[in-house]
Amino acid sequence: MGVSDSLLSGIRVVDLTWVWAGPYSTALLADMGAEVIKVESSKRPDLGRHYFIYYDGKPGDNRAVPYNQINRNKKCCTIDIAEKAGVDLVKKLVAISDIVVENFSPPVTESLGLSYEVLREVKPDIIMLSLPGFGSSGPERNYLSYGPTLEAVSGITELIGYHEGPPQGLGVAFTDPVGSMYGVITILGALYNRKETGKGQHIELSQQEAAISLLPEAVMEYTMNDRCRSRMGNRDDMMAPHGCYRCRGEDKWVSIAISSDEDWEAFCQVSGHQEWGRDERFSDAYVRWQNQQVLDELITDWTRQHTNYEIMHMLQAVGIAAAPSYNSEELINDPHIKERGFFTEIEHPEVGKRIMYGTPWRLNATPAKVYAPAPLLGQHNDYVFQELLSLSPENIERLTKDGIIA
Amino acid sequence: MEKMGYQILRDIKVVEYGNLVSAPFCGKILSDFGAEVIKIEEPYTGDMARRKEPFFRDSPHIEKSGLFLYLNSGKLSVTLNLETSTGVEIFKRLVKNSDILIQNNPPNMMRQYGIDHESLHDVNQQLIMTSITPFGQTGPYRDYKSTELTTFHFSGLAYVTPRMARDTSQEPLKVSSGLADFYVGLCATAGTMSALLARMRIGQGQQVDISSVECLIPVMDIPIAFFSGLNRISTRVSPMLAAPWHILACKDGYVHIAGLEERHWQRLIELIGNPEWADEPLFENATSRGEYWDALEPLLSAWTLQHTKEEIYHQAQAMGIPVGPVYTMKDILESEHLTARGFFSEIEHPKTGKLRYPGIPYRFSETPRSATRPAPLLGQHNEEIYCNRLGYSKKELVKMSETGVI
Repeated sequence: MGVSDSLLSGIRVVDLTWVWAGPYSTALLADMGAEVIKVESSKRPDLGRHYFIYYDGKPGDNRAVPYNQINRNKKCCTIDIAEKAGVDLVKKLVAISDIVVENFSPPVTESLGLSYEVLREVKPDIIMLSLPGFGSSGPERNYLSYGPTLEAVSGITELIGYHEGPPQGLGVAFTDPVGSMYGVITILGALYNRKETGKGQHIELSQQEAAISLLPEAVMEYTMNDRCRSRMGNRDDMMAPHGCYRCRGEDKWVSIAISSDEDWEAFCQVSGHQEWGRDERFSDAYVRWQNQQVLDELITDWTRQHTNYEIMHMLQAVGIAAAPSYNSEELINDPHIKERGFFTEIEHPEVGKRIMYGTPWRLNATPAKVYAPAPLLGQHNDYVFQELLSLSPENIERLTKDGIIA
Repeated sequence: MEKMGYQILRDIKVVEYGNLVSAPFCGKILSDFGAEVIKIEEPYTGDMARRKEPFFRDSPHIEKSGLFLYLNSGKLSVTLNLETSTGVEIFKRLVKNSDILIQNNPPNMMRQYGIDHESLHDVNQQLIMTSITPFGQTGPYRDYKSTELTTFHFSGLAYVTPRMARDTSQEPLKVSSGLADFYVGLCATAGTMSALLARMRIGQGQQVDISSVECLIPVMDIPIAFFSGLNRISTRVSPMLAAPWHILACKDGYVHIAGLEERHWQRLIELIGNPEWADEPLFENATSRGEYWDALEPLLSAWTLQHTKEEIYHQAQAMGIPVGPVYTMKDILESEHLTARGFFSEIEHPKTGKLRYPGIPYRFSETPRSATRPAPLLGQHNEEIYCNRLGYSKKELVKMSETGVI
């Protein structure tokens, strides 16, 4: 299918990013129809190409699953940016592009000679997004950041754990997609501004600050009451029951949130435990919250007798928020997720047909689409060097021999 | 530092009709981009976030919720009762003159009031309507209820949390704050911005259908990759493949040490003072260190327990070791780095005085930020909007108030 009628068709993005936060932001631009060109090199492929999960367990430059998911819809050319001739090529590409995204550490951007000041000389209305872990100013600007260390310094880790237990950490890296999403929002904002004013600009985004901006309950608890918010498992500040309960089967669970007295009455009816409704320990929201430990044990005795699906549908039928704690297989095969077609299958030349998750927003007139697999390493070299940059065959031969475009 | 120039969305008018986190967070970011955001609230009670903690000095009051004050800074508040036909009429007049409507109400409620996408498209073809629901506007669960808890569990994030659990005796976990709903708000903002750009191209508005679970599923990139590539189901009990990639207790809290790469491990050993045990064959590479983590953990902890998290953080980072202290909110608000970057914003509010709020994580080089303005009092802008904007007299406003319309 073509993307010529897509929202961002005609917009070209030079993607200098690695691993997740940067690449996911450019994947979303690609979903909206932008032409995203990843710059890698065989000496320095995206680290994600060798993240240890390969299709069918067989390693290879083009077989890492997370890489293939995060780089769908993109093109890839290989340029060695450690060499000056390579940097010059990137600049040529920037000169015919609209957006550049990078997540080097700030001194690396400088030393490579790919700072905004430099690129703006090449393309005055370029929009450039830099998303370093700690921003490009401040005493910790050059600190190293990995998913879990960023999660820790942004205050998320402190908020994960069982009631009165130690901090434990999320099972996925959340700070990366948070950075990606702010990246997309600010790039779209800068594009909107460029259409109105003709001007490009530089966007600096700190992944640490991005994550903190999602934790105002904890920040404001401290600035308002000088208290640090604590870990409370699956509990809520005011709702109870509010938890995750064991169901029938191996490691199967259902989450339930009771948000009103009506919910509570309906819950007692549906579960066949009308006696809970008459129990003075649970007679209003306040005492239910106070006695939630006891209540959770009683509820577990009931949920254990049913599957997570049974409980979801039983409770949803009377308007109560309940959902299984899904694993990846259950999630992909859920009938609702399937009917909405959130996962699609994409054919990849080396690994065959594989599933891809979709875009988080659905627009009826200008839909985003997952339409092409991730690029093989250097797959679009001819397109980029011959068609886009019109390099002569002699020039290409020399650059190849010198290892600049390999 | 105020820059010359115009705010990106200076001419854009937004109506926000929603509760709690997702829709208001989207409205807040658009307001930070310079849009005018009119927030429609229930008469007398207002947005449900007004009744959620933390409250300033622990005194519950609809104008003192830290969550509400953060999410709604810079907006205008009007009260309106959509149960009345006059209320619906006024709603349509507001929407007629707006560019964007953001709402997170149940689909059946919007239909019942006659303000679903079809009806509003007739009122204003330019309108972008962003609708946020747990499961989206279509599919078998479209009317199912969900809270942040059940959304988090349904999406699979909880099933893999906490990472590195010893066994499955304890339940899957969510984060002890509204993180998921905030992330959904970010995705809704990206979708809304894309519809705004599309409007420049196609000349009309459209519906932006945001399903909370579809926003969160891509965050499951790695667990999905394990299933898609290796047919393996990720759980919170993950095998210790390599080490150190762990949270360790220290003198005054916890630190996360990411030392999988050999150079990072060597520097860490040097920082610890080259202890003899480092030469043990058990610890010779990251994989063996993972395998013998039970033997390694007490040795590393013996060192971390003698130092504070700040000592370990700065000493390790100075040597190029990726370490992140598990920051509490006190640590974050006292961080020299964040203070030097000017991350926190100080906002003066009539009921709480001046307080520090989480700031904005991005900086545009050309377009200035909004001046930081406080959240509105409930119905603070009724006169300004209803009289000055829509032309009702003050006398009519009194009548509408008495009859429960506003």
